[in-house]
Amino acid sequence: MTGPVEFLVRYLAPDAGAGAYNDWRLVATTSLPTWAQLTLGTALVVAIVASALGLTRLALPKRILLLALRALAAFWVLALLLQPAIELRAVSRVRTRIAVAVDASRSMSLATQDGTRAEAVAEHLAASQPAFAALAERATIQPFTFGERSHLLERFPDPLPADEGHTDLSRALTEIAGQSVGQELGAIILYSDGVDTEGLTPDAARKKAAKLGVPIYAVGFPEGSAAPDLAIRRVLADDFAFLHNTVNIEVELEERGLGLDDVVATLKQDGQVLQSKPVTFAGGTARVSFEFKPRTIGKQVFQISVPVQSNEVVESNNQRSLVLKVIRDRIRVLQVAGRPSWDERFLRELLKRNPNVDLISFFILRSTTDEQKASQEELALIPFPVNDLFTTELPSFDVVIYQNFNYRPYKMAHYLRNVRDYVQKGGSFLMIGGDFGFEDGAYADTPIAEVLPLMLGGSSPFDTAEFRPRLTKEGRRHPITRIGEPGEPPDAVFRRLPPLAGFNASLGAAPGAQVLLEHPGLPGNPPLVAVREIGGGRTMAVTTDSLWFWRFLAVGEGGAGREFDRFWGNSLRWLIRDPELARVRVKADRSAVPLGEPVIAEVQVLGPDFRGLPGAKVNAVLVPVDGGKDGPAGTAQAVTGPEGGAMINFPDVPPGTYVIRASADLEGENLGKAEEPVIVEASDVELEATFPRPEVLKALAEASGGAYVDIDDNLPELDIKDARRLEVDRTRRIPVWDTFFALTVLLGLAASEWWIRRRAGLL
Amino acid sequence: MKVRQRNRRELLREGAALLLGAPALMGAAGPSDLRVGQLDTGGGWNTRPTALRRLLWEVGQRTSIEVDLEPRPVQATGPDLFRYPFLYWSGAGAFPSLSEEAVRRLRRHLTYGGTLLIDNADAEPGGTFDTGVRRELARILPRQPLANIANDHVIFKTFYLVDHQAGRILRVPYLEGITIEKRYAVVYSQNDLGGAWARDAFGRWEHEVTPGGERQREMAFRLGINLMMYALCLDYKDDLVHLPFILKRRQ
Repeated sequence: MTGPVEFLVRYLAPDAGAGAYNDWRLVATTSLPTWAQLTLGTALVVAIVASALGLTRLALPKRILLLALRALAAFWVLALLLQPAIELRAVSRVRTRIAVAVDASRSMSLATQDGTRAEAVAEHLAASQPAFAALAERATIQPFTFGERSHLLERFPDPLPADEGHTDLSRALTEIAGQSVGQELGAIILYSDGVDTEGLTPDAARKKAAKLGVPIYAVGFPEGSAAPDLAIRRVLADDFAFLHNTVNIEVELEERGLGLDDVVATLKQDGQVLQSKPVTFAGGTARVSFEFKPRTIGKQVFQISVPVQSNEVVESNNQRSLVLKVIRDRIRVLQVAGRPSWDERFLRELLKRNPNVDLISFFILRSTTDEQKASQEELALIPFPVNDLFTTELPSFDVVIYQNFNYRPYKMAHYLRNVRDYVQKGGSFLMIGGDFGFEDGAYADTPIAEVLPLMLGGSSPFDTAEFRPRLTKEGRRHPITRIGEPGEPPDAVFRRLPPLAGFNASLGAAPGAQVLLEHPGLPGNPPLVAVREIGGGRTMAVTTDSLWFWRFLAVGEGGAGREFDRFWGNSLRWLIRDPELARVRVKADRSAVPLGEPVIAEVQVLGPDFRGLPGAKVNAVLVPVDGGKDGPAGTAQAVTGPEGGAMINFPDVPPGTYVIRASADLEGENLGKAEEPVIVEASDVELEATFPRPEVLKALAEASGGAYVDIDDNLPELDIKDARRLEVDRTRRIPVWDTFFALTVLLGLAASEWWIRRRAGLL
Repeated sequence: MKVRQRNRRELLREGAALLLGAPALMGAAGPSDLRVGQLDTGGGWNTRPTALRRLLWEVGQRTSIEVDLEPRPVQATGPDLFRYPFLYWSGAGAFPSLSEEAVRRLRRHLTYGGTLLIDNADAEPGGTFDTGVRRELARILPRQPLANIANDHVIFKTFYLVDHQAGRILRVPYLEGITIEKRYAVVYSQNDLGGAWARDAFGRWEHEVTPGGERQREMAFRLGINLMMYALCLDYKDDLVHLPFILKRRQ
């Protein structure tokens, strides 16, 4: 027995057996609080310094000797007060933990040149058994599999799984490192193809590894091991866009093993090709951007695709869909008036006052028959930019207004087709009457007549007689004609407003149009206000130029003209399909639904007061966006609850792009309809980018102080340090302050002090 | 006084108008056509009875505005006041104070979109009419004082590019006005615009125009047309699309 521990055990704890303790340390066992210990220590220092002042008469050597004795004595007193003890301990070192983490995501099921990636990992694990056995002597080996999360296993299953739907390397590493309860994590041995579905980049991987502080030994797959494939690797686009403003969709492509030089990428909306662009590959990757201006608001689905190659391993990653929510910046309104008039003036004033409206006005201030009494330079007139307005600029407007406008003097006949097509493609058109409007503007048999809500041809000319309009059945529940005060019956408001004057007769409503207000004094009650949805757009007809009476004359009768403001405000909102004006609304739970999960949406039904309407019957269908050959992919019925909401559910929907179409009715009254696009994801995110990402694994290894090897190479030498962590099994404390030896030392110091002072003549 | 001779076509047209009645010639006025109410405030409210009719005729001839040629006398307390968003208040000499009801209705008319053109037929700043107008405007719109209208305001470019003041006599080199929500609801001329517009049934100008002669009369018509156009189109000529054209012509 030669070590200090054995010596201490023999003399301090002779009753303990040999080897009972393998460590010792000196500890203080005093019960004095820290502040008391500090006070005592300070008092002793002060006492020594004070006593030194009384020794100035002595020679220097004696003074030093006495001070040393006093300091030693003070230290000894302090040590005794701390009640020192020797603690004998039986300790053992905790074994280091080594995590072996194997990627179990679906991308590991992809083929390499010899079996799947998971099979290659299993072979490597088997081949590395001797290395693991050597490690197991110094450390605890913990097997994990991971995908989106990590899973601690007893042992790796055979065969290795490859069925996780996502890979989140960062999260999995964090979880593995976090499972070190009582054990140091010495290293992580990571088997993966590096395909991270959360988009982990090499830079982000370096930061992650540095933060973990654990060496990562990564075993990955070289880039050349990928099976032939062409994939849309990433689609970069904002979640929303502004109407009529340029949208940019960036697409990253990647190909391996196909030797492609270029392909054609296609952007589609609702199955219709918007753009096709050739893409050239460089180093196996390519980038293409699509720019376009959305023309309608709401959620819209776009598809990007590249052609499937003959020997591709995965076809589903050749297309991607995305949902873009198109919102309105400002409402762009084009107001074209045939002449200055009070009707034009009050409408312009209202539109200009609306901060959400971007108004472009063109008024015909002088006709071809008016006299010229000034040179052109003395006039503030500008040419009517017919061509610009009705060709290039037309699609940029949300609403086009013809207000008592006669197109014929401006040789505009061929531009009327553009207006019709603009409506068919989703634009909104409003024609306001007057002696230049409708029949008197000779719009019968023109392309515009095809989209108007009125039938024109052969009706009587503009009539200036006064009349009081009458609300129709459709008008009573239409948002446009809800212009009265809160709680006021819809019919009553039109009875109290000033009568109108000036009327463009017609042959009645066009097919599919709704008449909201009618002239009750003429045969057949021709429409005063009619609306129509045609093609993708909406049209509205107001067959008078006297609506300004509701503004100015109403003020003269004690009103405030709010009915005029509300009428045009409602009209504008209806024309632009303001979602806030819809009484039936549908919202999908998710725009992109993973395959196998149901499509869920909430239908909200509102009453005329725009509060939730309970008890309404909701019918919903899920139809493919391209119409589909086999009919709807699902149907659902529901009844709205107390708040006017109803949940609808379409289970077992095959992959594709769909539109949820919902309609609602209450006691036979149709309350409206709404629709919302939704994507059922065809592709597997794990298979969207099939190519191994060794660069991600290399970044993890380098930044963590580990190493990277390809799957064909041997496991590298692991630099595993011995654990620093100790585990104490038992202890025993032997006091050393209350011994004869301690007292003898103290007495010896005091006696030496006394003897020296006596010799120095101080006593 | 030198008066421009009318051409044969004008004579024939005016003769026909006299024989048939102007509304018949121009067609029945539509609900949105320009009708002007001439404010009857008592006193010398109609010292230029032919002036407004002539101006409206010129408006109809030179612009695409459809006009009702006959200005209608209206009283501020009358039931028809709000049928005339454009009011013309001409006068000479003193006139009685407006009643409280008249003041209230005129305030409402102007606040909700009406336009009032005041024309001092005396052309005498500080005279009895001018004093009376200022007194009544202070009652009608007490929070909005009269102020000079800047020469580059849209009123001077709504149809003609007008650089000069106009009227029978150039007494004041500016127009005054009152704005409500950035719009001139009241425009006040002290240069007797109506005196320059007035023309008798035989086609003779009723008043000599000084010092600018017939050019000054033409400017008075142009300013009158611009004011009518302003009432109907507001700041349309301030829209960006017009700016480059107007700047070029102003150079």
